[in-house]
Amino acid sequence: MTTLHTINKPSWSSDLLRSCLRLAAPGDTLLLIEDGTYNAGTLSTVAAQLSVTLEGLHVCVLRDDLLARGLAETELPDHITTIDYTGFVELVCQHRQSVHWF
Amino acid sequence: MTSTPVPRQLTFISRHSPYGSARARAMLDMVLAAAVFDQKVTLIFMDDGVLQLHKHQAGAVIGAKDLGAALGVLPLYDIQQVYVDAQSLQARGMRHDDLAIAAEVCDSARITRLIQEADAVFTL
Repeated sequence: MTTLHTINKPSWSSDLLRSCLRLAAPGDTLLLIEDGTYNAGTLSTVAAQLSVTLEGLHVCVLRDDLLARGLAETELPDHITTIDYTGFVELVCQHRQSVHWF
Repeated sequence: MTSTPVPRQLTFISRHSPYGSARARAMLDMVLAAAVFDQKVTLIFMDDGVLQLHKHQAGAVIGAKDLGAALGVLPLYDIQQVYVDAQSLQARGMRHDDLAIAAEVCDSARITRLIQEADAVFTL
């Protein structure tokens, strides 16, 4: 019964990431899309501030949205993987439901 | 031959304030439509969504329909599963007795379970 969470805004201008991290359960996937890709670098810090663990969560970022914003794939933290649009569709199919934080 | 579709558990998370955008009103429309089609509806208010429940709101003052009053129709549509995120309430200086409608104040873990039990989740 895992959930795919998509997030499309950075943590410094919205509560989306914080609300999502508070509700995400082990086995869930967080997918950073659009302006949510800016969270890639600060995700660990935000999680630490909330005293939640990223352990057990699968975190990925949509590659095109990342590159479009000048963020480098090579600078991503080790625990974040990049996916393409096909991967996005696969994630939707792999999870019981999707929650879109937007 | 007609067949009755199996009702699905639809969970709605309303996250926006009542009068700053059309989102709160649109969410209520979605929720009522789902109930009309005999779906199993769960409604959760979190983040700024809890502000929709403020019992002293008076939308008419700014020429808007009062959303708190509109939410009063939920029982008429047999929507009993209404939850409010305790943390969001507290962060906005609200308490259980500030709420315009009957709702269960619950913690994050409860909302996580409600999401897991849903067939589909809608946020707005």
